[in-house]
Amino acid sequence: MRNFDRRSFVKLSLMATAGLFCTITPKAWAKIYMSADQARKAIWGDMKMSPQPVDLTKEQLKAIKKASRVRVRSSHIKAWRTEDGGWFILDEIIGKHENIDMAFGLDNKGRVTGLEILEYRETYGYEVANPKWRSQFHGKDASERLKLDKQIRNISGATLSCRHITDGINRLTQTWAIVLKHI
Amino acid sequence: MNTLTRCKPLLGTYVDISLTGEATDDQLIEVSNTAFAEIERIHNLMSFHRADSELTKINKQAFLGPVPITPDMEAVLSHALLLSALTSGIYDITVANELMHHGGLPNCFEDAESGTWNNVHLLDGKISFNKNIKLDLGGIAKGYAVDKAIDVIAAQPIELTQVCVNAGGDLRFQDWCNEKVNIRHPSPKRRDQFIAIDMQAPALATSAPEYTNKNSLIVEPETGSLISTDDSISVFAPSCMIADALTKVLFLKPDSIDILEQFKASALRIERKGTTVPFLSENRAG
Repeated sequence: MRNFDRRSFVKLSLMATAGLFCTITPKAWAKIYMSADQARKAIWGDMKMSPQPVDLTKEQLKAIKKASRVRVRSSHIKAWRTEDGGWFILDEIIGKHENIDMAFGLDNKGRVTGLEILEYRETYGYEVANPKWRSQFHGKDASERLKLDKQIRNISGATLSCRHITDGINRLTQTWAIVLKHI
Repeated sequence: MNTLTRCKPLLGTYVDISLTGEATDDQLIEVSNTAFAEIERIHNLMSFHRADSELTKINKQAFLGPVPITPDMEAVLSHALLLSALTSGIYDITVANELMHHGGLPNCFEDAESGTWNNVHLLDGKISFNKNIKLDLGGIAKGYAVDKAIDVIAAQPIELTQVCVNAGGDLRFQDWCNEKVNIRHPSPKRRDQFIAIDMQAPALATSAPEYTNKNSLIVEPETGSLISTDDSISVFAPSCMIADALTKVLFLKPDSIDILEQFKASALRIERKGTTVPFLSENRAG
């Protein structure tokens, strides 16, 4: 489901930027940064790690929400455990108009050792929530996404706040204290 | 040819660094690491929000006596004061008290007084205030951080064909010719629209109302109130620090064409309906 979303957003961005000269009116756009593997390297270097996905129980979800005061949208954590007891986690942060895929490194004391934004998507309008509309973009692969990224121009405008990332960090550090620490 | 584009939350916004050159991923990651570290260093010096920043130290102590400052702080402050002098106080970094009252900054200093740039004294690498004023470096520090990131990237042994550092819309290219950028529509309802513009100088900054309300976070020094606007103003300049500062100058004094010229800058206003209007000498009378 998530990969599927990514492709559709990127395809959208192409539609939005291609061949237009003056004012363009995308309903959604995405900017892709590092891959998950590049982020792993940037945060952990050559540190060995093994996959350790975690599914949170209802009680854990509640406890994390209470401690971080942030809604927990997914009960599944895409996590890897490093040799020295640290973590590499892929996470999604959802704001009012933006969805952000992120990678986090936590050390064995639960401190954030690094974070990378992997993909930033802005969404407007109803199209993105409509599965029929999305389905037309099915099947685009990663290489196409990378190519598209170059066509997305730099944007200037009123500064966007990254407050939702702060919320996401709070949620993850509480997830560590309540769940990951005890694994 | 390889390109790495990387993004981190810094300076209270999203900082995006794009590097292109004959280099491996690892080499580009290494170069971007040094650039992000430089931005983080500036952030840690100039953040109003951090209790341990150099700016907080100045805000706490400069009223009590001269405080030694770092060369980075001196570079930003001397430019800010120069702009204040050139604009007769239209540009003023001593608006932190007003921003705290309007909720634009956290209220960290209950005893703060209102003042002007004339209350700031910068001499021999030391700063002092003769009134209990507070400084906010906001945009100018963000622009400075972008400039410093471009500098540290240029000092790396790897030759890059293109570099762009974009801190939430304050951006600068290594090679700006033939580059286009998208400027976001100033209307909150049309935030998903962009206006494509050719770069006119290495750096670009845009100021616009906050998308959550009509008011900007730009304080009019004479009245102490936030200016209300539907428009955005973009400035192209040789440095990002100057570009950011000049957006504020133009909001408060739209006929400052001489100042634009003095800094080799150019500017445009994007109006509520999406119309692009350049700031030109003939507009001066209006």
